[in-house]
Amino acid sequence: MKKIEIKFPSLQGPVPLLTLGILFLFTVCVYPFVVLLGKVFFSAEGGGFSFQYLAEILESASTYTAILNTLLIATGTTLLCSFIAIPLAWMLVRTNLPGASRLRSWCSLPYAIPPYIGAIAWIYLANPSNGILNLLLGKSIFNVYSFGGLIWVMSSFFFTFILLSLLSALDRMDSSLEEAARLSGARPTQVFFRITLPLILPALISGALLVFLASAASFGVPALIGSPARIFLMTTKIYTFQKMGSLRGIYLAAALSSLLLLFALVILVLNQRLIKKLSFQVVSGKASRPSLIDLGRWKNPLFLGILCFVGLVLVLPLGGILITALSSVQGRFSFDNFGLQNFRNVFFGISETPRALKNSLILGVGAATFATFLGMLLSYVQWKTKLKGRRLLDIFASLPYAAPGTVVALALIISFSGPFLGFGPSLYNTLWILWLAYVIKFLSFSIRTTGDGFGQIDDCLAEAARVSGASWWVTLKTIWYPLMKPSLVAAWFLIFMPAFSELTMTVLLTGPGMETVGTLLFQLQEYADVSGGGAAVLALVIICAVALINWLVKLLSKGKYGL
Amino acid sequence: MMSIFKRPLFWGVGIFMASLVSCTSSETGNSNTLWIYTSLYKDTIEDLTPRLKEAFPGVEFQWFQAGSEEIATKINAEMIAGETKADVLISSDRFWYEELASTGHLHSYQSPTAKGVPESLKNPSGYYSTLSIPVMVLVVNQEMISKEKAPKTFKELADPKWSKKITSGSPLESGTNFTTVAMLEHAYGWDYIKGLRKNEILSQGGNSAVIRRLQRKERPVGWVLLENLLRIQDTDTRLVPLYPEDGVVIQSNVIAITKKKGKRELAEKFVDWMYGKDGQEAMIRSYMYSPLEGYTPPKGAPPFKQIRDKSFKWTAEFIEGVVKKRDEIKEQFARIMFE
Repeated sequence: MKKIEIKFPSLQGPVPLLTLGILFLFTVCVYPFVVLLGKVFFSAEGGGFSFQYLAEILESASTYTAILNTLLIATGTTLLCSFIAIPLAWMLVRTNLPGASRLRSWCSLPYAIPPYIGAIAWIYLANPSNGILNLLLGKSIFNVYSFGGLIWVMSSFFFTFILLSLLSALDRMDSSLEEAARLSGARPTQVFFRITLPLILPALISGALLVFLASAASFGVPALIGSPARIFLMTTKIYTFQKMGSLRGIYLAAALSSLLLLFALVILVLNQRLIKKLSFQVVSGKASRPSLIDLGRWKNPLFLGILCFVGLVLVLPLGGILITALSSVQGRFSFDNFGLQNFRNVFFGISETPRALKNSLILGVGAATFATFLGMLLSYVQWKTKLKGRRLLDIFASLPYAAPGTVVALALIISFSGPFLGFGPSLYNTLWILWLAYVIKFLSFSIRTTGDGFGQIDDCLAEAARVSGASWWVTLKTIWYPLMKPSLVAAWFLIFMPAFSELTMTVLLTGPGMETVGTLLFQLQEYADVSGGGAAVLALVIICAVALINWLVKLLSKGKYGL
Repeated sequence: MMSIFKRPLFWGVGIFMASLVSCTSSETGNSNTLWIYTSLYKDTIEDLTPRLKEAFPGVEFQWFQAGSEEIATKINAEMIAGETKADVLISSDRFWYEELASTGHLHSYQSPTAKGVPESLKNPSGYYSTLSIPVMVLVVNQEMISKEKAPKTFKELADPKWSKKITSGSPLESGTNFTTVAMLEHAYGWDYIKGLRKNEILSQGGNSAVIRRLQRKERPVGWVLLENLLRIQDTDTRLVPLYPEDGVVIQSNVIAITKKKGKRELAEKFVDWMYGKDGQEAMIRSYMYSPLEGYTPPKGAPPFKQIRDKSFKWTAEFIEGVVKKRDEIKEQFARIMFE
C-alpha cells in the first residue's frame, strides 16, 4: 500500500497547549539546574567564572574510584534487571502461564516498597554476622554487604522499570507477526529472539536506561549497603560533600553532580541514536488477540519458578518488614514481644499521621497524573511532530531524574525560594514546591513509557483519522489514548509509587504543616520511634495503598488496566 | 477543544490544584512569626509548644524540623539564593556555626540567662552558645557480651580483640559522629582510625542505625549518643551505656540567631526563654544535659560533673583545627574506611 503523503507543519496539534508544556519543561526542569550550575561556576573564590570546584574534584583520586564503581554497579544492576524482566514479561503476556494476571501485580509491587526500608529488610535477612537467612542455613552464606549484594538489592526494586515497560509494549504489540513466524515453523525460542525481542527492544532499552540512571543516582541503598561493603560510589561522595554542612560542600556536591549529569547526557544521546535505528511501528489498527503459547510440560515448573521469584523479591523482604513492624523491641524473639504496639503508635500516637497520609496522597496522585499527561504531550512532540530540536526535550526532562534527589532539592530551593520567576508568589514552604519536585524528578518515567508507545503506533492510524476529518483532540481520544492506555497506566504507577513515599527531596523542601509519608518515615527512622518498628509500619501502609489503588483501577477498568 | 471539559482528567487536575491551594499556608507573612530551624526532636517541640504559647502570646512559632545536616544544607541553599528564612537555628554541628559566624551570617547576642554556660561551650564573640549537651558513649548488647567483658575505653576499640565486633555511625553522614571521630583522631591519631578499620568497624548512618544494628545483634559493641539509649532504657534493657574511662565525647546542641532582618528582638527573647527554667527542663526531658548549673541530669543518666570531668576536652585549638581541616578529615577517613 502506498503511504498517503501529508505535509506536517513543524508543530502539529494544539499549539498553545504544546507550547505551554515545553515552556513548563524549561522553567522547572532546566532553569533550576542552570541556576545551580551557574552558582557553582561563578562563585569560586575571587569571583568570576572558574572551574575551581570541578578541578578540585577531578584532582582527587577517589573521584575516579567512585566513577568506576558507579559504572560497575549501574551496569551490573541494569544487566541483572534485564535478565530478570525479559523472560518474566514474555511469560506473563505471551504464554498460558496459570494466574498470569495476579502474578503481574505481585511482580510489580516490590517497587512500592520504599527502597530504604527494603534495604534494611535485606540487611536483616542477609547480613553476614546474623542475617536470618544465614541463621536458618546454619552458616554464613549470604553477604548483603558486597558488590553482588548491592546489585541484588537494587535490582530487586528496579527490575520493575523494565518489566512494566516491556509488559505495556507486549500488550500493545500486534502478535500476528509472531504468529506468522510460528505458522512458518519457527520454534518458540526462534520466534522470541528473531521477532519479539527486536520489536520490544526500544521498550527494553528505555527501561534499562531508567534502571541505569536510577542506580547511578540512587542514595539510600548505596549508603546502607555500599558503605559497610566499602564500595565508594559517586553518590557516596556527593552525600559526603552535602553533609559537610559548609557552603563549599554544597558547591562541591553540585560540581560532582554535574559530572554525573554529563555522564547521563552521553548515555541519553547514545540511547536516542540507538532507539531511532531500532524503532518499528508495530501497532496497526487491526484488532489483535494474541494467541497464547502453550508452555506444555514447562507450565508448572515455570509457574513455580515465578512464584519463588515473587517469594524472593516481595514476600521475603515483606516478611522482614512485618517482623520489624510487629516487634515491640527489635531483635528479640519471644512471643510476648510481638504485637500491634507499633501500629497503634503510628496511627494514634503521632498526631500528624492523618495529615501526612492525606498530603502524600494528594501529592502522589497530583504529580503522577500531571506528569503522565505532560510526558505524553512531550512524547507526542518528539515522536509525531517535526519540531526542530524536539529530541532535546527528552534529554532535558531526564536531567532531574539522573541527578541525586538532594541536588534537585538544592536547585529548587535556590531557584524558587524567592518569588516565582521573579514576580509571582513564592512556592517555597507550600505543597507546590513538593509537587513540582515530584513532577520534574519522575517526568522521565512517563516520557520514556509513552515515548515507546508513540514510537510503536503506526502513523497511518492518525492519518486515517485526520483524513476522515477528525480534529487533534478526537484523534487523541479515539486513536492514541486507547492504544496508549497500558503505557499511561504503567507511567502513572511508576510515578505514583516513588512520589507517595519520597524522602530525599521532601526532607529538604518540606515546611510547617507539610508533613508527608516521607517526612514521617524520616522522623520515625531517625528518632521519634522508640521500638524501631514505626518505619516498617509505614512501609506496609505504603504497599497496601499502592495495592489498593491498583485493585481499584483493575476493578473500574474490569481487569483491563492496572499493574 | 471543548471536549476537554468533559474529560475526568481535566476535572481531576482542577480539583487537585484547588486542594493544593487550600493546603497552602498563608501565615508566612505574619509579622509576629518566628521561624526556627531545628534538629530538636518532634516530641520536644510538642513539649515546648504549649509553654511557648503561654510565654509569648500572639507569637506564632514555625518549626522546620530535620537532622542537623539537612538544616545546614537548607540554610546554605537559602543563603545562596539570597537570604535565609530562619530567625533562629538550633542544631548540633558546632563547626558549621563557627563557619556561619566567621562569614558574618550570625547575629551576636549574649543572653543574660545564658551567663552560666561555660566558656568552652560558646563562641567568645557571642555568635552562638550551647543550649543542651548530648553525650557520645560506648554501648553494649548484654545478651552478646556482658558488661564486665565489654570495652572500657574508646582507645581499646582499635585492639584486635574487638575485630568484627564494633559499630558506629558514619562521620560522613552524621555530625555527632564526625565530632567523635575528629575528637578521637585528635587524641589518638590516624593510626587509631586505621586500627578501627582493621577491626572492620561497621560505620554507617546516624545514631538510630547504630541502635538498630545492636538490637538485631549484627554487632555487640559500639558508640552512640546517650540520649538514644536513655530513650529505650525502659523497653530494651539489653542495651546499656558504658562510660569510657578515657572520657565521653561531649557534643554541643547549639542555638544561634541569624542576620535575617526584622525579628531580632523577638528572637533574642526566645533565646532568653530557652535558657530559662521551662526551656532547659524541656531539654532535660529530651535526655540531654543542661549546660547551666543547678539542673538535674536526664532520667537514668549520671551527674553532669562526673561526665564532664572525664571527657575529651574542647579546646580553642581543637575547634580552630577542625574548622580548617574539616574536608581533609572526612576525606582521610573515607580513604581509610573504603580501602
